[in-house]
Amino acid sequence: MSQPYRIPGRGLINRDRSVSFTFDGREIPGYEGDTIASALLANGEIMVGRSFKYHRPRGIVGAGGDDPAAMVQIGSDPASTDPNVMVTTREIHAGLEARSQNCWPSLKHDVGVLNDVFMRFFPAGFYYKTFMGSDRFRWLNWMTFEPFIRRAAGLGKSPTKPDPDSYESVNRHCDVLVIGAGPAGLAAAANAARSGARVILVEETDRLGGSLNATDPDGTTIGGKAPADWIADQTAKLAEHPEVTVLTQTTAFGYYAMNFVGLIERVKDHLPEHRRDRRQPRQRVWRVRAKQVVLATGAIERPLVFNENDRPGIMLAGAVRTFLNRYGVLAGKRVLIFTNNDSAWQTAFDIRAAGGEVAGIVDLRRELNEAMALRALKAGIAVYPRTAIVGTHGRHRIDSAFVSSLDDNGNVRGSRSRIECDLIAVSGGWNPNVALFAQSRGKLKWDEELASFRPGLSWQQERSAGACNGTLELQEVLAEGSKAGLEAARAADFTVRAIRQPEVRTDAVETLNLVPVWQVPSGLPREKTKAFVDLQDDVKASDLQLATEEGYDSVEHTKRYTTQGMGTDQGKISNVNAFGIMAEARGITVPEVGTTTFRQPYRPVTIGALGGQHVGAHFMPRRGTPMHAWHLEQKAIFEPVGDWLRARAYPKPGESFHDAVQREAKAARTTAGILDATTLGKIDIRGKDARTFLNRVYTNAWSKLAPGRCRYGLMLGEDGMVSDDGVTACIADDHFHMTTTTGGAASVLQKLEDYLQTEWPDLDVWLTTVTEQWAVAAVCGPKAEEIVASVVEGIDLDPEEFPFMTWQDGTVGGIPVRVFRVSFTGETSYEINIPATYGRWLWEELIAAGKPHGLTPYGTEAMHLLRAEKGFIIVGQETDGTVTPGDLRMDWAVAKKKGDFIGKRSLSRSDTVRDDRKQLVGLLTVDGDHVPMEGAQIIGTPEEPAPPVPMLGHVTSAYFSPNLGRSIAMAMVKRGGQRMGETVWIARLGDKPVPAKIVHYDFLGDAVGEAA
Amino acid sequence: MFVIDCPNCGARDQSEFTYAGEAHIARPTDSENMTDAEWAEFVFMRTNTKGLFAERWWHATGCRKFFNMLRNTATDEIHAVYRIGEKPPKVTADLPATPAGEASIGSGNDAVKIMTRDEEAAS
Amino acid sequence: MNATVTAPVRRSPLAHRSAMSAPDDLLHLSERAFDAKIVLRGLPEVLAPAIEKVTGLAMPEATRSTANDAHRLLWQSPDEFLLLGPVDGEPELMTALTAELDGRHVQIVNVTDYHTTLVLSGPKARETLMTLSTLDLHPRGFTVDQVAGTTFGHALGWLVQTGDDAAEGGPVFEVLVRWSHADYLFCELTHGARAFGMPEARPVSGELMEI
Repeated sequence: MSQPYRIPGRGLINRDRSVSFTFDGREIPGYEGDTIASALLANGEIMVGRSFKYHRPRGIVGAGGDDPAAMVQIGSDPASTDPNVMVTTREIHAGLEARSQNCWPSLKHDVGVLNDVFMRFFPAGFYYKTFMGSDRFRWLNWMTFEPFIRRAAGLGKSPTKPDPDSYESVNRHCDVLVIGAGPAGLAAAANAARSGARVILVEETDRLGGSLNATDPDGTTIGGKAPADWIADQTAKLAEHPEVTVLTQTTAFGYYAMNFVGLIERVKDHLPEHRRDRRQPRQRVWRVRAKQVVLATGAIERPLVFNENDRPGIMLAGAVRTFLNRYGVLAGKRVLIFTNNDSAWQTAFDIRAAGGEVAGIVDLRRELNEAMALRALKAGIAVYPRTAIVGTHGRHRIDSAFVSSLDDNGNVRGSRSRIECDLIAVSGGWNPNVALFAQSRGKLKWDEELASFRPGLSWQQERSAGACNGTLELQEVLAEGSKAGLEAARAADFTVRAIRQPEVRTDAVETLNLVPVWQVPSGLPREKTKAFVDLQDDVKASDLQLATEEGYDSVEHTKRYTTQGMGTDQGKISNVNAFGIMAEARGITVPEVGTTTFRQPYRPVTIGALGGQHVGAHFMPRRGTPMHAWHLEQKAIFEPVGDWLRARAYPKPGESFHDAVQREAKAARTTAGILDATTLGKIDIRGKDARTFLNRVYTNAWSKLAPGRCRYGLMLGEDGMVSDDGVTACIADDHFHMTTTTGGAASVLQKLEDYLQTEWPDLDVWLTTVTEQWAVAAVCGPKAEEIVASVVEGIDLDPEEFPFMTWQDGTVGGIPVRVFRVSFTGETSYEINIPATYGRWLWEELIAAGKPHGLTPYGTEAMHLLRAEKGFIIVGQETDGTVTPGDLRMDWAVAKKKGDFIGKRSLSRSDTVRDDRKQLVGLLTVDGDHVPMEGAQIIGTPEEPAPPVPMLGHVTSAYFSPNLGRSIAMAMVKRGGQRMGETVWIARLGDKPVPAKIVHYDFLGDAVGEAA
Repeated sequence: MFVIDCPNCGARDQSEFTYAGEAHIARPTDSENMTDAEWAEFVFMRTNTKGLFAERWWHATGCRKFFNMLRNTATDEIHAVYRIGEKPPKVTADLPATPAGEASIGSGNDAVKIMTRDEEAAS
Repeated sequence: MNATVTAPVRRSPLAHRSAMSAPDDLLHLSERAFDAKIVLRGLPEVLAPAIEKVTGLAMPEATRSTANDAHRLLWQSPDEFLLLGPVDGEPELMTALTAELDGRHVQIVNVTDYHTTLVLSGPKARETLMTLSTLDLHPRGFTVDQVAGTTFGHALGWLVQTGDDAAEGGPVFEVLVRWSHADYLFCELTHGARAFGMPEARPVSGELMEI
């Protein structure tokens, strides 16, 4: 077996189950429980990709979600390939294909590396300066160069085909949400669970235990048990509580208002194809509303910023320990430790305990912990106090480090000496992982001992416990976790008593004694020092310093100028170092510099997962009428209206859409047409003050409308602009049936309720929507009476008995119907309302009855055409929220004397009474075959003058009218009402304006004849 | 998404509600006697407060009742929910010093991301 | 007048769907069409005697419902209630209630055809609803006879729990959904229950949208 870096007897991987995968086509052996990173390291592979800007080799730095740049492309299928997957977080499985990214033609021979050679010429803000600001490069404008730069930069490749996977989002409420299942989180969850509270415990990796999984199993006991046994105990206890949910492979990615937390569960990514349950989504978003949250998200180690610190083989000291103890991999054969604090020494001790070789401990501090130094001495480890690594060597993996000792001022003193090593384990300290805390809008506090931020003041119902709170000693971590769990349960109104804490015995280094060093001196001039801060975005300490010199004081501006922390890792290990470097450059403290904003998501979330199940056919409801299936059977063409789908036209086989509309509109005027008008909004209005109410919400008068009669009404906003229209019928003195536009149904009801509830609570009126109670078939045309008569019983259709703008109750086959004699076409028309469950049946009865009379179903397009012939407006087509009744020249619909109504006062505002407002007119193009484009601008000259072009108005509707044999259009034109007979011109893009004559918009009236 | 405590239905997700603008703007009853400017003040002008703001919400999917809410627009903290026709309750809260200030916590803005020395001393 | 029509055919919004179940009785989903449904608007004290007399039901508390063998009365707002009754019962209910409430400031509206009823039952009913609803649907958060008007994905509906969790077959929920959202919601519920082995119903489609 290969895997030369695997340490026998170490790690929590399953050595009985070999698993192999491919990396850049090569087969890599590993074990069940390995991540891509641990398996690569077991095989001596440490370089996995190249950096964003300079294409420098990038290796594995972290051991979990903190790694900055070790990302791969998973799979090669153009639909399911997954870019930017962190090798440290993806478990391996049979069939997994990983590829290095951002390098061409191959990982080790990359053309983009030329950027590296010219690194000196790509300082902070290079792109801004070169392509946006400088006169010198004006010819090289950004628009021209952007595509090339984008192609050369970037990380993985996006999939190019639709995502074949399914996703799901689910909602949950819980009492206590515990984020992180390390020692603090486990203690918190176990204690909260005892109260009977609903607990959700979230763990990002595949295994509970967190940092305990990364400790030397022989060095620590909890309550007399090995860490693994204690974890197993806690896990078993949690399983006993029915109200506890434990989610592994799940990341809390966002902490939002009022304890709303987004979790992303990777359901199947880590499983081989044959173990993926087809019924399960690939990933699941949990939208959790928690009464209380316990944050136990641990701490993230930060590296030291030193010259040539970005070579593969330079790894965080804690990560080295994690790979060793959790995965049984010692990532180097000869490891050099470089630190400014005690914690990294444990890495040296663990390596020695596992039989590995330590090249030495290079420590920036002068004062060292004596006991620890003695322990190193006993272990045969060379210690270099007050020493710095000033350079490294090795292209695709380091082979040596150069060290120099430091003087009292922290400057390099004396010559460089070379230490051979193939791995540098580096630690610059630990940053409490405060990302979620900061997202919750809690305030951070600068901790001098940690030289980092930790939670200060809470804003939401949460508490932090363990390393994320700056607590590093295990005994304290457990105590804090237990306390947080108990307090959270109690705060959620549960009762629970504390129990005795298990005692921790450990020989692990738990002290820090950190001396912050934000940038390690190299002894070289700044421009020759390649000290990287952000390994993903290739931001160097010198870039941050240059930005400061150029005047970037705000940390948020410096971030954007240098791209510090702007990669997919969001600067997890690098931001605090960057703040430190900025602080030093400005001669102020880090808290004075401040921090950038911790934004959601904590880690990238697949957009598909956020979309969840609401995609494709499930994207939104397709509201159809009871007659919808009939329209479908007729192969109607549909259009969305609001959220409804309405039949737009019914082309016959071989017939074009245009021809179908012409045929339908012709039939509706010459024989008969039938329209599915179900979608019109319908509101039942009842109460003794119903008339008063209608008087106030419509512009016209309702006091005298007798039962049995209908009236058209215009509804305004308080700004005087037309917002809806429709016909309302008087059923009884205190009972009305209002119709609204299809799209306006919901908003009109809201508006009416608003006025009733808040402005006129004294009015005795009730409103109930009945839109979908009724299916509506509108039959119109010369033959309509005959057709309706053959179907409807109990109504005398004689126009004398059943005049225009009245309604009557009847029956069809014994089913009660209500018929309205109203018209949206100008033809005799009957709108037959029947309970919706009979809608399809009624429709088919009418179709059958109408067949001998040439009854033709028409869609919404013909409906638009027919109403335009008659000059009826459509709210939202002729109007756009800036149009008054006067602008529509519908003053007849405004009763000025009846008292106040919504918007009345606005109709006499100086602006609404201007005499140069646009007014609705009809337009007849001189060439009757030309149908103008809706929205086209209207000008006053035959030729389009040079801009700015004075514009008179615009076309709102335009059709070819089959009944008039020519085109008709409606338009809003300045002073239109006074321009009858004038000629205007309709502008066209890239073509000559078209002349048209202004006429009255009732084209069935005298307009056409007069124009001719 | 915040949770709104509907006076009729209880605590529900924000997605069930529709925002309905600033509260306590009574529709004038004598608009005929108002100047254009006075009327425009009612129709168009709203205070756009940063800080404590009385606003109206409509429980669109539930009881379909309008109600009032006092919300800190800088932090989204909801201080009170009360019925139409009721006066806003007195709130003593940590509010932004408008126009340029911040609530001392909760707005997420730069000025209040890190504890002040005074806050550290007090805690 | 010589109206000649065929015998009336009544179709529910989900006439094209059959009841669906997940294996092991984890979940059952079906439509119960044509229940009589009547909206009553008015103050509870005004409505109470009439409702009591006609249906035998007491007025429900806020966010609750009351029920007997033939009827269920859902609270929808402080002055709005939805009465459910037997199939074809709406004419009699309308007539009786109208007579009882004559002259009072109330509104009685027949909405029998506005909604249909989806019945979701089984041990996985709660979890299935949680894929679409932001309500707290834990047994501690939503109990028998409770009522909520809310959104299910993009559909509006009124949820009521009619069967107890402890009963044979698990809890029973009913969702009153408007005609035009019924198919969407039916399919969304089967979609949300895939993990429990529910076969999937796809929304009807095939509309031509292009000219």
